[in-house]
This record gives sequence, structure tokens and C-alpha cells, in this order.
Amino acid sequence: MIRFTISMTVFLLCGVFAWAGAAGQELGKLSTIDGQTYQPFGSKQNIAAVVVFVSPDCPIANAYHPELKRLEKEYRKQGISFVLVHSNVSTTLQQAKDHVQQFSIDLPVVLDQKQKLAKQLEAKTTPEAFLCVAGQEHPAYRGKIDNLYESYGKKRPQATKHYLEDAIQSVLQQQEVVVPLTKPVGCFIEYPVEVEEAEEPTPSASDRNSTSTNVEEVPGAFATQSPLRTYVTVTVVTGTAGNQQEQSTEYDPTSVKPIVEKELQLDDTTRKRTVPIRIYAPRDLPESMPVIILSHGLGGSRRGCSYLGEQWAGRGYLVVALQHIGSDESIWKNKPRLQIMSAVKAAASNENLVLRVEDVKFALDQITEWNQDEMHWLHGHLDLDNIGMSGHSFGAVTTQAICGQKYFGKARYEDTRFTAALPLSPSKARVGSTAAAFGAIEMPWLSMTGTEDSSPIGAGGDPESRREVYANLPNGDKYELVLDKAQHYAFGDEAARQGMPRNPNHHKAIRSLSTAFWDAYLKHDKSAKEWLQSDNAKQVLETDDQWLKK
Amino acid sequence: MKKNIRSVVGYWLVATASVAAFSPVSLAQVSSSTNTSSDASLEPIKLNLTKSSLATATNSEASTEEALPASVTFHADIAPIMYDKCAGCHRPGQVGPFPLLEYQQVAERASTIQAVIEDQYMPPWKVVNHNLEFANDRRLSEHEKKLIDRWIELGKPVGDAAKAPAKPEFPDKWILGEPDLVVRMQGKFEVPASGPDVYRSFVFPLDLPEEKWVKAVELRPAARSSVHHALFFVDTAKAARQQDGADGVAGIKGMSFLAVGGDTEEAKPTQSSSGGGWLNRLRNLAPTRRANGGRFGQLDQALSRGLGGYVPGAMPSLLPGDLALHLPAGSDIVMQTHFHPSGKPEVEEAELALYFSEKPPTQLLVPVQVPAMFGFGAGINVPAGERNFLVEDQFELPIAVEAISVGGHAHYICREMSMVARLPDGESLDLMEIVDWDLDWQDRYYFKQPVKLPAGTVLQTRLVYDNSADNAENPHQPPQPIRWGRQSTDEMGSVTLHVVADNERQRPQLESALSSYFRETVVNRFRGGNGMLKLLQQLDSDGDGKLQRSEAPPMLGKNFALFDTDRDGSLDPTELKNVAEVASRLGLGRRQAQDNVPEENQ
Repeated sequence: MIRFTISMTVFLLCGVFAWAGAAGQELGKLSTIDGQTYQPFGSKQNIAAVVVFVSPDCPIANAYHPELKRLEKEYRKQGISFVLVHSNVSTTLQQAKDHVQQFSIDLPVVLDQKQKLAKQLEAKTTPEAFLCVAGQEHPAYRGKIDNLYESYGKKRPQATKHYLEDAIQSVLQQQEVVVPLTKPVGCFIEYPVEVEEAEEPTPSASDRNSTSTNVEEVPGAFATQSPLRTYVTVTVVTGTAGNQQEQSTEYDPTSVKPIVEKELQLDDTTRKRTVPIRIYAPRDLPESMPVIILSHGLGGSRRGCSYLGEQWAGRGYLVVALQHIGSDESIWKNKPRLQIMSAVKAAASNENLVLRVEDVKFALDQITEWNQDEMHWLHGHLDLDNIGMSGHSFGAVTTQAICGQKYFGKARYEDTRFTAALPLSPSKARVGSTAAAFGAIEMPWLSMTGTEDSSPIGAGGDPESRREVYANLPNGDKYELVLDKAQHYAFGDEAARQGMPRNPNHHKAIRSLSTAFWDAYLKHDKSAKEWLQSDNAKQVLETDDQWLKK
Repeated sequence: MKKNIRSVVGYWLVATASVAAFSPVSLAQVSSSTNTSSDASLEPIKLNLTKSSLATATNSEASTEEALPASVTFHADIAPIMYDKCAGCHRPGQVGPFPLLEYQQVAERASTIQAVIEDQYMPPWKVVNHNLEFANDRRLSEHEKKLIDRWIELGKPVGDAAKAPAKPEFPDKWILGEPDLVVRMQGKFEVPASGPDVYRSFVFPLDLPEEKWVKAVELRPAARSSVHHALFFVDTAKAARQQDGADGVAGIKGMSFLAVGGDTEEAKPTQSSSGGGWLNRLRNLAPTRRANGGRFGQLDQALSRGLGGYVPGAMPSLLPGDLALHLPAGSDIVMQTHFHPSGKPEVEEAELALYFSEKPPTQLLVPVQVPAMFGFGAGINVPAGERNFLVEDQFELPIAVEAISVGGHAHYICREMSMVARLPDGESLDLMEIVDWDLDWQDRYYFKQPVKLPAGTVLQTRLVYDNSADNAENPHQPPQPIRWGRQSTDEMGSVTLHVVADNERQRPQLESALSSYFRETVVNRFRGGNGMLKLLQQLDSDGDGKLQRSEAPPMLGKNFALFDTDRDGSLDPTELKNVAEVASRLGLGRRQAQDNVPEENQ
């Protein structure tokens, strides 16, 4: 039985900062193996911290110590701090110290026997590097140090891609990190669960809520009287308590895998317009993943509906959330309170709809280029035959336009590259007949709204009119979810407005049904479609919620 | 406790003993010469091991039937696999980077273990033959793999310690017991902490007053984390000794296989423009075929006089039966070593244990290397970017033989390597099939039963090279044309089958045929257009861009004057091109097409 003799003070590095949080105020404070306190963001000069998970005896991790030493020497003066972390539970203080001697390590070393840091960063491998920038919630880079090792036993004569170093340089130059994620090669970090502890509801709130996915600790199936620790593979699930039956044949739209998020700007030189985007991607990139474009509502941003970006990416989709300048948060930020409403109303214009539609098409062009660009980290991973479009409010209007809504008899904004549509709080046709606008759409649609989903700006939408969209869609792969007592903001991220508590089941229902819809129509998953069309879908709903299909 | 000794010691004995099965006497010899736990080794070896190697070879039938137990625990199910298949190297003091003996050691690496097994990286074993079994097969059976998967799924339960096999006891020092001779390498070599892989040959001076017959060689490297593999050669001429330390450090730099033949090209790069020892030999090549190989024969012998190799994961074993390799009096052993810098500096000062046979073998092991000379004349000339460059060659056995073992050699860009025996009756037999060649694991694979090959059998080797940028192990980025050569950035390729003659009196026929084959290889190399021109240019010792009569190979003979059109007593580049052109037209060698593969840098 191992006793934890070292008192660890591990504050969270990446993840403690709110997106808009002031940079560098709450900084990590670590106890190193030589008893010192080490603060990776200890001074204002510390721009970022490189956290590398290592192990005393992983040959691949060990082979990198000279390179890590070189990097630290090179970049320390420029404000990048380095720290090595041992997160194998059985690594002892003495082992870590011997390791320092053997490999002449002069970087700060932290013993993370309780795996707090490893869990926080969802580290899986040694060596695995994280570049955490002060004030940013997510690591700017995570993965391999370089590409010296292609796979086990496949080693290049020299590394030809220096991912970590490139990322450091991008951060120093205040540029986007071009490759934010690579899959590390090395020895896995195991997450043991102590049977005794797992039965108590001990995990701290911060552990559970800090990331998009919760780590569900499954008690050991073989809890013996043995004092030995029982090791259990940690399964990652979201929301409801994990179903411990492995390989359940039942379709489960809730389970998700870890994801990564990344923000960047796309420059449309033709339109002389910038499109800020936020990417949600599965952390372990699948061979081929469908793409979903997400469009925010009036006054929103690329960070809107992040719960859906995280959910869908966690299910193996690339989610690209766009920010449409002109109808985004800039219309109300820094404006006098009284002007906000009129500014917002003014932004709900047809001009902005056109800009939005063009943003979507442009973004999809870019995504297509990434897939072809051998240097891009998403190269070859995208399934561009299956593309979904979604958005909330004005984003739903954008979705409708892209996915075949007719204006004066013509689907003038339609982009035939899209496969399925999921408007949240849709709007009926502003002018002309809603039947004419939607009556010929063959594409699968899932429309979501609530019984109290009225327009916050008093235009274009009352709950009844939103439902006219579904009512006018032709039969065939069309669905509608109407959440009981859900307001407009039930579909967004924001905490409850105006003192109205949020119904926690609403997000759960939206996540589950939207996931099943994408799985059915973008991944062509039969079991998802069956689930969607059976009564199982209703299991995630409350009694008065309505689930319609035709 | 007893039980375990048996299962583990039994492992390497199985490897040896099963090969020896055709000669029951040899098993006793094997056992008595090993000096280890004699009670265990003398007992018939029943072992789930034998069963598991069977299961692997015919994996579809055997493994599907074997149902997984309801509960899978470390002590009952996983520990035996670790002890049998992993702990040989993964135990304290051995090359495995971490031990895999205790529950915690295994549990904490379970996902990694699963991943390297799935990746076929561990246990190291590269052949994927379907129709032949190998005695030293180290792979996990499908059933064993499933047990590990299931154990992890179940949460890695410990189980009942009472059911655990006792921990294996491994011999303290030499696995094969007390050696007949232990030699230490000449000098020490410091392996750097980082940087590219290091290839270096080290000399083990033997100074044996009389010839010996070697049953086995066992290596104890000092730089355990860094040593990746080693190959042993006999240097009858003590040529390597003279090169040792030429660059101020113990050993001879580079991947110089031919060091044993006195070749010094890599050891002294300054000489490489004038060709070094290898080309010195070519300078003296006679154009006509001599009956018995002449110098070719000598060089051939030197090249193929291997003593086996050391690969992590490969247990040293004694040659089966009364087989033994010849170690002439006065010769040295040269160890070509491949180091992977490990992140910390290490000092190599290896020890080698030799196990001798009392008397000469009744049958001599004959290496049949196809293509000969590690592919020197086989047209290994891979254009930059080429993904599937195919090299094929074949040799016909003049007599009936039994094949004992097979192994291959190539460098980084080789991907596939196979040898097929085309039997006279039209049947064919895959002797070796490697689909993902890895320079790191150059093993010798011992057939479980000697493979009978009748006279007239054609041994066909097929090598596929991937010189594209997608090949991570490509030494050049961007890719460059890669030709045959001894540098690690060059390429080679051959499969060597070790055989014994059915009738020992016929062995000279085989050796003679091999000499002819070897000679033909060199001549073929000369015939090829570009290859020929390059070779001729390399003979330009004084570097004046021309070939003087004194530099020209004897094969040109009287024809020198014919090609010397400007009568200046030397062949300038244009004249040399004519030589190459004429030679290739006259030659029409069967490998000509491959030698003429256009080069992008020309």
C-alpha cells in the first residue's frame, strides 16, 4: 500500500481561467520533488508553461530529456517555463530523484501521485506535452514533442516536425498555433481507482466540472479483501452515471470521448472579411469524421452553444462554430445600455443574413482545403460527404437558408454540400408563405424549440410561429422537439436569465436527440436511427415535452 | 517454485530442443552443456508454451476453440504469460526498460502492454509465415492476447495469490550456463545521450591457438538501455583489429558489414573517393570465371561468416544437433552494434560468452544468401519517392538440403522481405515472410522442423523498398535516390537460409554453385548501365576524373585501348560512358532493367 508522503499542492494550470478572465492572476503553484514551490506563472514574464508528463522508465519519454533540456534553455528567457510531471501512481519520490540524477535533469520535477494534474489535463501518455498559455482555458498545444517517433519502433533519423517548439514560437509571436494537437507515442498513464475511495462520493467538484467531460470512476469489479490497489481503466462518460455494462448493444447518445478546442480566425480575402471560428474536435482524431457548422444567434459569438460543440465533437464530429461579424457580440459590447436593443434589432437584417450565409460557405471551403492540405493537422480526417448545419435563433435562420429554405420561390442561399439541418429556435418565413418556403425540402431536418421560445427582441418569433417550420416540412426524415416551458435561452449556454432557473433536463434532451440525429444522418448509424424513431428517444424527455417525427 | 523454473527455463530449451528434434541425441547434449537446473531441462517439456506456439501458427483453428475463463486474474492467467513471454527481458538487469514480474508492474503498464502487442511491436517477432512453425516463436497466442484484453476489461483483478505460479528464477549471469570462453571487447565506447542512432563495430580479440567450433554466442552488453542489436562476424584476417580506434574511439565507425573483409570505406571516409578496400578487390577482379571462386570465394566466405546476432527478446540458444560454426585459429570476432541513444550517456564494454562444441560437426551449416553479397548486384537502386521498388533474385539448389533457419538483412527503407522455395514438383513453400521489415529486429528464425528441400528447388527472394516521404524511417527527407551501400543511409537486402546438405559429401557442389552465383552477382553489377558507369568512376583513385590504365579493372584488359579513343592513356567520362554502354548492350544481364532505373539526380 502506498502512502502519499509528499504533500502536493497542485493548482490547476490550464482550465482555471475563464475565457475573459484576467490573465495571469491565479497561477499554478506546484511542489517539486526537491521540496521547492514552483510557480510556472510566477512572474509577469511567464507567458506560458510547458507541462510534460514523463515516467522513470518509459524509453520514449526518457529519450526526450536532452531535447527538453534544449527547449527549456532556449525558451526560458522568453517567458516559457517548463515542468516535468510524474503521474504514475507507483512512482516514488526516490525514483523521481534517481531519475533526475540518471538523466541529468535540471527542469523542475513534480510528483503527481494522486494524478490531479494528469486528470486535469487529461494526460494519457508519457511523454505528452501541454503548452498552457497564461489566461487561456485550454492548452494551446497538446501532444508529441516532435515527430521523432512515428509509432512504436518506428523512429525517424531526426525529427522533421517540431510540434511543441513550433507552438511555443507561435505563442511568443502571438499567432495561432497551426497544429494544436497531435497524438503522442509512448507509454500510457494508467488511472487506478482505489476501491475504498471510489465508493465514497469524494471527487471534488473542480475535477468533475473543469472540462467538457467528466471522469467517471468505475469501482473495481473485483473488490477483493486484498490490500492491493485494484486498477481500473477509467472510462469517460458524461452526464448520467456510467452504464457499467461493457459493450451494451443499446444505442446510447450520451457517451462522449475527450475533445480539444481551438480558436482561430479565417481571413476571406475575397470579401475582405474575417471569420473568427472555434473548433471542437475529438482529442483522438477518428479516421474520418463528418463536419458540423454551428452558427450563433444575434449578438452571440463563436463560443455560443459550446455545450453542443463539446457534445458533438465528443461523439466524433468536427464542429466548427463561426462568429459572424456584424451580427455578433460586437453589436452590443461597449454600447450604452439603452442603445443595445435598437442595435440588436438593426443587426437582424437581410444584409447580415447574406453575410452569414457567405461566412458558412467560405468556412466550408476552408475546411475542404484543410482536408486536402497535407500539412494541416486535420488533413484527411474529414468526411466531407456528410456535413451538418446547425445554429440557434439567427443561426437557425442561417441554417434554414443554407439548407434549402425558399425565398420568393427560390432557394437562393442553398449550399448543396450540406447533408442535414438542425435549427434551434427556427423562424418561419418572414415574407410569403411558410409552406412555399419549406414545402420542398428533402434533406433531414430536426427542428428544436420550446413552448416559451419567444423572441427576445420581439421580432420574428413566437413559440407557435417557430413550430410552423416543422409543420410545413414535407414528410421523410423530419423531426421536431418541443421542450415544455423552455425559453429561448434554454438552447444557449448562458446561465438562466432574469432569475428563471434552468431546467437541467433541457440540455440533456437537446444533446441526446441532436447527437442521435447526426449519428443517424451524418454517420448513417442504423441503431441511432432506430433509437430516434422508437420510443427510446422519449426516455430522455420529460412528460410534457413533445417529440414528433414524419 | 519448481514448476516455474521449468516453465521459464523450458522456454529457451524448447527453442533449442524442438529444432534438435531430428536428432534425439542432441537434446541430451544441449541439456548437459547448459549447466542450468538440470532436473528441469531433462524432463520432457510439456508446457503450455508448446501449445501456444502451435496456437499461433495455426491461430484461426486453435484459438477460437479455447474459451476464455469466466474470471481472468493476474495470478491465475496473466502472470504465466508475463513470465513466459515477457520477463526474459523485462526483469531487473536485463534489456527490457522495466520489469514485468509483479502485479503492480504489469497493472500500471497494462494499456501500454496491450498497445505494443496489438501493434506487433512486442514481443519482437517479424515473420508472419502461415505454413511453417518456428521453434523460437515468441509471439503471444490469440488466446493469450484475449486473456490480457479481458483482464483489462475486468479492471485488472489481482486474483488469488495461491494460484500464482512462483516467480521464475533466471540464471544469474549467462543464460546458457558456464561458457567455454568469455571475451571482453577491446576498449570502451561512450554512447551519447541523444542524437541519431549509432552504428559501430567492436573487436573481440580471441587469439585462439587452434580452430574451434561454436555452438552459441551470448552477449552481455554494458550499455543496456542503448544497445539495440548486435551482429557477430568472424574476422579471419584480423583486419578489423587494425581499424579499431582509427577515429580515436574504440571500435569502427558505421554500418560496415564488410569490415571483416578488410574493407575500410566507412572507417576512413577520406578514402571513400578512391573506393576503399571493397573497390580494391574489384580492381583485381579477373574477367573470366574461375572454377572455384578465387577471391570471390574468399570474400564470400568472409561476408557470410556470421556467428549470429543479439536481438533483445531473442534468447541465446545452442545450434541444434551437432551443428557448430567454424572459428578458425587466430581469428577475431567483430560485433556490429546498433545503439539507440537513450537520453542518458552510457558506456559500452560488452562481454561475449562462447560455447564450443567438443568436435567438428558431422554436417556443415551452409549459408545460402539470396541475393548474394547482401544484394550488391541485385539492382538495389531506388528512385526518390518510389513506394514499391521491387528487387527479386533466385538461386537454384544443386543438391537436396535441410533448411535449419532463416533470417534477413536490409536497412531502413526495405518494407517487405520474403523467401519462397519453388519445389521441383511445382509446389511452393514460404520460408520467410516479413511484411513490415524493421532493421531493429534482425532475428534468425529457426524452423521447428528442418525443412526438406530437394535438389532443383529454386529459392526466390523478394524485397520491396519504400523510398517515399511517407516512410518515416526514410533516412532522407526529402527522399533521395538510394543505392546499394554499407552506410546506414544506403540500402542492402538479402535473405539467408542456413542449410545442411542431405548428403554431406555433396556439400562442395552447393558451395561451388554459391560461388558461381556470387561471382555472377558481381559481373551483373558490372553489366548494368548506370551502375557500371558509377563503379568505373569510383575506380578513379587519383580523382582526376579519368581512369588510367593502372586504375582500370582487369576485365577491360586489351579493350582499354579500344575505348581510349583519344589515345591519351586514360578513359575520360565520355569514354567511360561508352564502356558502360557497350557493356550493358553486350551483357543483357537479367537484372539489367533494374540497374537502368533512371536516377532523378542525374
